[in-house]
Order: sequence, then C-alpha cells, then structure tokens
Amino acid sequence: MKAGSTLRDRAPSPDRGSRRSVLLEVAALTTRFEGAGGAWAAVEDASFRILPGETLALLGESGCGKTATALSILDLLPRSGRIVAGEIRYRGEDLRKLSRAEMRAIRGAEIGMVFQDPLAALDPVQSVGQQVAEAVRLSGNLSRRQVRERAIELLGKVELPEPERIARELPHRLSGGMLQRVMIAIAIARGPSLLVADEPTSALDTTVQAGILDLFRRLQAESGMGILLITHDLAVVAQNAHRAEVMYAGRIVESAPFPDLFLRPRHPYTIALLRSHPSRAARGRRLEPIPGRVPGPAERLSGCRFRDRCPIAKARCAEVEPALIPLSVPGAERAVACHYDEEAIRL
Amino acid sequence: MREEPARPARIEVRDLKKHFPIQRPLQGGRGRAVKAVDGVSFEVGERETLALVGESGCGKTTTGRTILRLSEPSGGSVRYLRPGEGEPIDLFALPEREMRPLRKELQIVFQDPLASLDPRATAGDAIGEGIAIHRLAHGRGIEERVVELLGRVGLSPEKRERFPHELSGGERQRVAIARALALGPRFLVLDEPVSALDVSVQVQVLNLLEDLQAELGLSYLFIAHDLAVVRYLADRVAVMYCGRIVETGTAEEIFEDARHPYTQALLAAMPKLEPGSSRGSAPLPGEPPSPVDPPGGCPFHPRCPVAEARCREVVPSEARPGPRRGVVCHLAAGSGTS
Repeated sequence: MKAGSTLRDRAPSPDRGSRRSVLLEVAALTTRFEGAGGAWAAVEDASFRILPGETLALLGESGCGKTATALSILDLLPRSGRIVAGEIRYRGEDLRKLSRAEMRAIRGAEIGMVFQDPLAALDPVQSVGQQVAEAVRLSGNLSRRQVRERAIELLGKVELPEPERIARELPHRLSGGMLQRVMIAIAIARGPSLLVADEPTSALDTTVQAGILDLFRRLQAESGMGILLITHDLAVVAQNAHRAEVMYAGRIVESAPFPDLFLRPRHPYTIALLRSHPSRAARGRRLEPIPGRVPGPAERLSGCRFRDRCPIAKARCAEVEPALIPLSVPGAERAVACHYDEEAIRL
Repeated sequence: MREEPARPARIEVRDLKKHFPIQRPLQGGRGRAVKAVDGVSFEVGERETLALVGESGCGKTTTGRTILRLSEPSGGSVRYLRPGEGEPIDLFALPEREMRPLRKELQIVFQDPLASLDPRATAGDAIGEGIAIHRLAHGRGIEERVVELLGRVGLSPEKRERFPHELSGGERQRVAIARALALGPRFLVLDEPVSALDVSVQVQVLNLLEDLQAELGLSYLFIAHDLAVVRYLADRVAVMYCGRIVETGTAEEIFEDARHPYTQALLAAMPKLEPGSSRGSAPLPGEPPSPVDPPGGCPFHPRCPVAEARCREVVPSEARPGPRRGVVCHLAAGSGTS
C-alpha cells in the first residue's frame, strides 16, 4: 500500500484568514456571450479566491459557467464572449487591465493550463519532447542542451516511464493518460504559481484518473502552486479539492471547504446532487433523481434558477434571486445562495 | 436480489472472437491481427442486466457490436432464445435475410445520441422510422405508437416535433431508447448509455431503464466504465481485460468479494465520495497492453501487484468458485484475498 494515495494525505488547507497571500481573486465576475440565439450571461457575479497551495474546485453540470469562468481568467474567451463586469486579480494585479501581450506573458509563465482533450492541444506532427522543449525555451536563456535535458526531466517529473523514449514519440502514439501527463509537463515547464485544469481527467479511465489526480497532489506539495480544478465530477472534488464553488446556471450557489461540502451541504442543489450520485445508492435501493433538467441559457428562471427542481421552493424563490450569503460557521469559510437553507439542511 | 434466470438464457455467447487484421501490404509474410475480442463467453437471462466493464480498449464495445452482427464475428457463437420458443437460434449461422426479422428484437443504444440520431429527423421520425420499415403499424397508427412511446420514456407528445439539437442530452437519450423500444426488443445492448449525461440526469435514465426492464421483460448487456453506475443497475458483472473476461459474478460478489487482482484494482480506483475514505491501494501502474502484441502468460501480469513466475509464462484457465462465478487467475481462484 502506497501512503501517497490516500485521501488523508491531502495537504492541509492553507490559512484563509490572511488576505496578504491571495494568489487569485475573482470578484463579481460577469461574462456574457452573444450568438445567433441572442445574448446571455454565462457567468454572473462570481467571486472566489485561491491561495498558494490550495486546490479550488469549480463544480457544476454542463452550461453552469465553470469553463467560461476559467476562460475569462485566462483571457481566452472566444470572440462571442466578453467580460462585462468584475475584477480578476492575480497577486493583487488586475489582469483585465493588462494588454494582450502582457497577458500572453502571464499565461504559461505564471498561470499554467491543462484541458480535457490533450490530443486537440498538441501538434500532431511534432514529437512530444519537442513540444515540452518549446515551453521550456520560453522560460529564458538556456542552451539547446539544457532545454533538451530540462524537457526530459519534466517528462520524468510527471511520471512517464522511459522519458527519453517517450520524448521522441508523436502524440498519436501515446495513450490518453500519457498525453495528459505530457500536457501537465508543458503546463508546469515554466514553474507557474497557478494551474488551471479544465476537466483534466474526464476523458480518462478511472484507473488512469487516479494516477493523474495523485500527480496533481504531488506537484502541488512540491511547488506550492494553487490549482483551479474545473470538474463536473463530485468524486474528483472529494479526492482532490480543498474547497469547492458549486455553480448552477451561471451562478455560484454554494461555497464550502472539504469535507464540509460533503458532510453538511446547505444548498438544495448540492444536497440533491450528492443524494442522487449513483455511488450513494445502497444495493437494491432506488435513488431519487433530481427532477427536470439543467436549464439552457434561454430557459433560466426569474428569482432562484433552481426553484423548478427544488423540493422546498416557495413563492419568494420566484420573486427574489437569492444572493450568496456568508454563513457563520466556526472555522470554515462558507456561503450559500438560498432563502431557505436552514430548511434545506433538514431535507 | 432477483432470482436466477430460467435456463436456457435469453442470450448465450460462447467463445466469441473478433480479430481485426493488420494490413501490411508491402511486407507480405504472415498477417498479424488485433485480437479485440478473444474468446468471450457469457449468458444474459430474461429480465437480467449483465454489465461488461473494463478500461477503454478492453474490447467491451466490440463485444456488444459483434453479438448483434453489426461487426462480423471472427469466431464463436451467439444463441438467442426467442420468446415462446424452446430452442435458441444461432445468430452467426443465419444468412442476413433471416437475421433481419430478428433485428427488431435485438437493439442497441449508444453513448452519444447526438451522433447516433439523424440531425435532420425529428424525434417523431426517428422513433417512427423502424415502425414503418418493419410494418408494425400504418398511417395514424404510427403516430399513435410514437406518442405512446414518448410517454413511456417520460417525454411529452410535443417533443415529437423536435430535432435532436433542440433537445437536451437526457431527452435525446430518451428518444434513442424509445426508438429501440419501438420495435419490441427482447435484448438490448446499452453502450455507455448515461456516460455523456449530466449527473443530475443520469439517475433518471437509469431508473427508466430499470422500469422498462421490469415491465417489458428486457435483457440488457450494459457496457460501462463507471462502476458506481454498474453497481446501481447490474445484476451480474463480467470484467474484461485485453479482449478476455477475467472475472464474472453477481454484482454483490464482484463489489464485495472481488477475486481477480484486476477487478480489485478497478474497485480501488473507483472514485468515492466519502470524505476520509481511502482508496485503499496505489493506483494501477502502467496502461492496458496493446491487443496487437499482448503479453504472454496472463495478459495482466505486467501490471499485477501479486504476479509470480508462472503468471508470465502460463495462461491461466478459468476457475469456477460458484455456479455462475468465474475467475481467470492462477492465484486468486481459491481465496477471497490475494
């Protein structure tokens, strides 16, 4: 049994009391998209922060705004998308005020990125070693030999077997899990302080996923980088995140540290999501699914967006959109956007 | 727990093989083959769900497709027992002409309904098409049957006017299920039917599949990689590795008393929600082997934590610790732990 693979080994959460050491602070972010079907807010009024050494999960189903949030931070929104309000502060500096060139310098050097599909992100006709070397080269004045050595060292660091042999391979020769490790090597090549990982294990087998999540933990323990982990998978959050922001239809509805989110969820959506997870079913017992479906951007309701699927919704939920209100929970930084969360915990 | 299915089974697969030749036109010589499925046997009883699990590339999808002859088999047999008949029919021995009427009863539902449904056909057209082709109803009768089927899968009659892109993922999968049901199937291959769906919608579709099975007496071959979903739906489980089944048993036996080290590793890697629960063991090292050139002996030996010398040399045969229980491992056949 390997000690490095138990949940208990998650690094302790950094002290959130001091604002001094905040790595990334997103404040009241609103991002809108415009398309043939009209305009809509993909993200509305989202606020959260990440400390060094912390893994923050953005958790939600399709269309909840988690990827739009990540792309807003990275300044990689497609043409149809635009940040219309809010601040994105990296080490105190507002990224929205930077020029394209300045932002390009931050991406990669300060903020690394890993996406779901590595095959789409890699050049099919260049060896993976060359592609890692490309990222290394950007980090400064290194000789060709140093670049090559560093690239191979990085491939070893992400625990690829025989890194020298792997370096010569073209992407299509490697499995999905190995390619994701190559992407991680590229992402950490310049020693970023923050890693944005968008569904990094969603396309992988669970056996391979477990190894990648272990790798994230190990790299974080070594370098102290913060990780923004975007996922739809509650189990990935349970295994890796220090905190989670639960998103629904463009808004953060609950914010809680691990394991409070799992032990004492407060928003009816989080509660229902946990309760309807197949792994929670006792053998032979039926799960109660959440009724209805995730609303599309044009189907969002007035007031609380979850109210048509919520078992405790009342008249007020249709009239007033609930704000994300901090909870006074000793020792835990928590917030929930529900008028009736006191009632929800008795669900 | 459901009772043991009456014999013979609805579907009985024996020594199924599907080999894909590797074309090497310039090299002549002996052609090699990818042994995607290499001697797979199992049964699926009436009202029974057999889950076929394993990592990507293990051959589970090819198995599902080959059973239905969507891909021509390289060997083995599939015997299908039609309702009301005493003797099963060997599907692989039938000419295509005789296979066609049976296809109504043998259906498949794919992972991604957006890819499997025609983007230019409305939900109503998609569901009604098979009814018209097989002349199961005519004129207004088709329309009535479509509305009935929509209701059966939990969709309102207005949805028949909708195109796939106008439906949500869960609704599209319901349409795909209704399309399969339209022909009165007895056996369904469900290939990752909820993997592409939002978590909050997965359980809706799983419950629907369970209800349909109970009402219509369906048999399911449920292909899945998500063991949480398998535990929820399956009566029995077959674990595949490198084109072969390495362990079979009831869902309870597999989840509570896995004998094969590979099954144990899959269970250990199963993501858990319980805070503080440990995954129990190190993640499985390495990657599944290439089916072009599988390792000798037990194909799992390079990744196996307990492999011995004989595992590298001798292919293990199947031990049968119980009547419908099988383990293909030199070491794990006898004891509960390894």
